[in-house]
Amino acid sequence: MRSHGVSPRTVVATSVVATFAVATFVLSSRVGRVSLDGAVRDAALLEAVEALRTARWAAAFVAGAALACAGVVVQGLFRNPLASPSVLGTTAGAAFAGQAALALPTLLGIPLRSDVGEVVYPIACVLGALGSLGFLLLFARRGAGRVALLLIGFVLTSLLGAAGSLLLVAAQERFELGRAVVAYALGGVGGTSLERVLSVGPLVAVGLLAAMAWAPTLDVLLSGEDEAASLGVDVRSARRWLVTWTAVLSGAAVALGGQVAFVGLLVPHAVRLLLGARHRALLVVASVAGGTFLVGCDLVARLVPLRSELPLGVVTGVLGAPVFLALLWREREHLDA
Amino acid sequence: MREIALEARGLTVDRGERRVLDGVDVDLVRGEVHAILGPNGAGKSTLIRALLGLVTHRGSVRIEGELASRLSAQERSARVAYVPQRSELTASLSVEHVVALGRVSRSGAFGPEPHVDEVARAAMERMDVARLARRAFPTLSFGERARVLVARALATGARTLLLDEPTASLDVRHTLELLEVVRSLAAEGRAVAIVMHSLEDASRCADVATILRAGRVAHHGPAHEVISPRPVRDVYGVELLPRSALGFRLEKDS
Repeated sequence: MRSHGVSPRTVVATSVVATFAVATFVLSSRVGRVSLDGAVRDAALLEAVEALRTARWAAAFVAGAALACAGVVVQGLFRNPLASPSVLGTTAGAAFAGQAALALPTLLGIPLRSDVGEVVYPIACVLGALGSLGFLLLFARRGAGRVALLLIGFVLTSLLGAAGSLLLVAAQERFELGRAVVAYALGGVGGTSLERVLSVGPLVAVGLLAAMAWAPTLDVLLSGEDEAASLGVDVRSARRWLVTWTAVLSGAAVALGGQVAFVGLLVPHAVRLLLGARHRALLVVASVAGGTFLVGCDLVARLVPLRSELPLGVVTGVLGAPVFLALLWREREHLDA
Repeated sequence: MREIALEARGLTVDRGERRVLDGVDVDLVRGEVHAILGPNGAGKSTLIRALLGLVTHRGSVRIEGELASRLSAQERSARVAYVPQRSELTASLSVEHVVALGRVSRSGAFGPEPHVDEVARAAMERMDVARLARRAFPTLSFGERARVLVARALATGARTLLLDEPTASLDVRHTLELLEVVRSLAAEGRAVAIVMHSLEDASRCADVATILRAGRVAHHGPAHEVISPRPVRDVYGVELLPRSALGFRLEKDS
């Protein structure tokens, strides 16, 4: 018997996803608006372009991994296949808090030093995600059904988006500040740096490890709270911790890549089709797949022949929205559960 | 000597303005099957949920002599196991994993306790579901699911089992098989409480019976005394015929 070993299916799925991850890394390093094959002769410029592309790949990979992992956690926690950090308003909370941390000090005449900002913005994003999830949980604890949960997420996203727009209006007079505030809302890893990835990466690493540690509890929660409690799970404590780690992962992802929709919905579903519902394998493979997926989306964003680069959130939105609708259709008979 | 595994005194549960359980006393004794009976809405499932600490209640529950309120969720689950009428599990977890989750409260942060697979295997063999180990739980029949849920309860190692209408979705054969298992679990020294609707099934498997009516204990005592014409007429308003028109038993060689 092998209820806790690594199944051959998991090994195959991990290998396939890892191969894609390597392939996207290679592509991401070599492909872009500037061809590096002989066209750039300046060694310093070449090095700078390569460093930028590596940072982009790393930022997209880490953000995608965090969002996919957070998606697996919230789907398990709320027993709702339609849940994801973007659908529940978690990334909107993180983005608004990031926008506020970015814009308010400048607007109030006390701008943050850039090195302080690199620390403050991710923390603000995590707190914003936590606040948004806390609000959602207040309703979920009162027995909100699946549709109600999605509607609360929709309201949160709308409300926080409106608040973010208000900040944008205030920040518009300063061009760079306005651009940075917009970037949080639209998503993208174009202006990232390896330093930012290294400062946010530990948050994601802690979040991933913590989610892994809670994997058996997530498995039990699939049977409902009563059964989980009867099997020795302290459900209240589990909820609190799982919400905390979701906020850490979503906040860190937004700090790196802005508000990128549907990664936490699309990727867990695709991986679940391959691996089944067990969370330990699901979390590992979905994280790698989420990272790979977002790197792929970033490649698309870079290569679409437009005058300016396509925002990353637009690419994931175009891919994710039909999948969300398809899932909504599939789940239509269970939505009141 | 009777060894009390679980003792509840004055259990009272209110749901809004309505009192759904009113001062109920229950003793579950090792080696005995205790049937919890009563009409719809009498408070049978609420009683089980209160014994498990799943609903807010007044009154006391002692598990193996200790107040349940002083036990952690893990300690409680190691002493009392629960078999729901139907699991809410719809995700595609394998049977072997579902059974192994009976030990989840004993697993560490990054791995299960040692020997969990052996414990789960033994529980599955005990319930005759080892052949289904790789099947996804939602693909099983209701009878198979009921057996898997009992196997999960056995895997917890708890010596008190609370079963909430486990035969509700079962056909006659699966019902008889499950009741036989319940009897054998009690014979091994476990205390078993089983919520049932069928008086015939209860008389077949229970040593002790409690009939609830409107949240209170209406009758309690040895099963053959409680499941008799007077209490049945009193609570259900029906006549208990001296012999059932139909009777079933398992073929031993099948």
